[in-house]
Amino acid sequence: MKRRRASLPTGAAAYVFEEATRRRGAEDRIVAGLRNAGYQEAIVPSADYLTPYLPHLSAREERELYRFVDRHGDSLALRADFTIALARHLAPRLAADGSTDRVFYRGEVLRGASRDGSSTEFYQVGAELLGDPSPEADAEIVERCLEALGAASRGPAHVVLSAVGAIEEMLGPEMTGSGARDLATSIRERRLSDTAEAARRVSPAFAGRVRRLLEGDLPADEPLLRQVGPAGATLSRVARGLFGRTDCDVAIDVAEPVSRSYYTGFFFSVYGESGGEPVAGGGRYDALYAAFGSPRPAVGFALGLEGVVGA
Amino acid sequence: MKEPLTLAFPKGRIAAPLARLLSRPPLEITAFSGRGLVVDVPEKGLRFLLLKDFDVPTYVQRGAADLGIAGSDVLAEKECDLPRPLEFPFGRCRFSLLQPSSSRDPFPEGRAVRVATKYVRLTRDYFDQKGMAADIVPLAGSVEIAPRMLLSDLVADLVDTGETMRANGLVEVEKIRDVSPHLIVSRAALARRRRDVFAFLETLEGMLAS
Repeated sequence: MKRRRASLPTGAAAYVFEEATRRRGAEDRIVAGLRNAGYQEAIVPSADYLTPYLPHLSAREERELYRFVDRHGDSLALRADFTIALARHLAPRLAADGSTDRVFYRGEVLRGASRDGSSTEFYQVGAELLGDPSPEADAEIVERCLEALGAASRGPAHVVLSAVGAIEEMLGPEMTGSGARDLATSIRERRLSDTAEAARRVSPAFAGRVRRLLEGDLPADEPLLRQVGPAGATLSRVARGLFGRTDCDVAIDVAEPVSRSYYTGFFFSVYGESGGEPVAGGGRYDALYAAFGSPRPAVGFALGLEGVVGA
Repeated sequence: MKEPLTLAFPKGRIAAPLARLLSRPPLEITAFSGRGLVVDVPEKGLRFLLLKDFDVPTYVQRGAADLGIAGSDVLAEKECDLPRPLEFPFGRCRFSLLQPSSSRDPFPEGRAVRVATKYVRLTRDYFDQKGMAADIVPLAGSVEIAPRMLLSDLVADLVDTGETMRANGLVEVEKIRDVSPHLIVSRAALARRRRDVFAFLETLEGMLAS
């Protein structure tokens, strides 16, 4: 007799009975909050042609894709991210007047090449605000994200605010070009001795600045934020808005690594009380809609129900 | 009471010098001699998890430990991209390709060279970069005897003093990479306990500098 296989593929999970009810309940509360805030649902396919996505993926993101060839010989990939899929399917339908749109989505994403058996299938809920380049739009998305987390789980959230390329900007004018890029890499890896040695060669004051960047937790009125352009204004604005809240703490840490390669400015990660990976994250991706023919600033967030409900 | 800061401590080859470092002031931790795999040091606000070297990145990556100590060999093999604030001055060695001292040319004609190793990814990357086909034989340990038992033509493993290599009739063909132990930090721990983490790092930094 053929033996029945009880195990699941690495990183896959099934939920039944109360656990399934709990997850759907959390999802319903998040979705109700987003609808109340004026966000409309968008549904995108779970498999799509591969080529429109490739220019927007890093080598690592590309490696994570589950790809296959359909019966017509076309290369397809399973959905690994909602944001690019939304841009592809939403851009042709957006009004030409550049009006503001608020959309949300929910569903599975699949990412392979998992390390150490961590999840490959995630149930994501997320929201996007299109057409508004202001720090207020960024603050709204962070607020929606924290509301969604609050609707799904208990326990404080630890919010880390950052911006693409912020360290390189903050190392100027003393250090620029490849020197700044190398030092920024060391700061992101939090290499204490390497960074201290490189920075001391410039000046003791510069060494102090580098150490503060490496340790993170810059104040909202940090003068260095003015060197980062619009993203710096957002970091100040969002941090000020979150200080004093009891459901979360916040740190401006420009050494936090960017989680998706399409982010162009401000981005954030949210960690829960347990686990090693962020339970939610988001950021600004102002170039993505232009690539699909409808230039428009955009900012969004996504959370994975696995991390939130399981936490 | 505040939760202790949890450190993943490798039980392998760097355990002894690491324990010696931690026994020095101001930490003065000497509790690693028992058989328990969880060592609490409440007076220092620390907890140590004694783990297999290859498990350290997993514990830290998944937030079961706030910090950990792992060799750059293990970090590369596990594709661990966590922050690594400190490099330790002991336990340095090299990851090398080894061949039996008796064999003149270990690269056979007509088939891919067979290489026994604990480091499948690193070895595959090395041969990919060389543009050579290799048949990797994954082993969990005692890889040095693989060529003698005709399990492989070559071995890819760590070489420290070279004693084990020589005792098993092997010689070094080529160094693949230098290896050194690093302190790694969970990004979640940085978000949750930034001050505690950096206070501990400063203590350790001071101990390494003294």
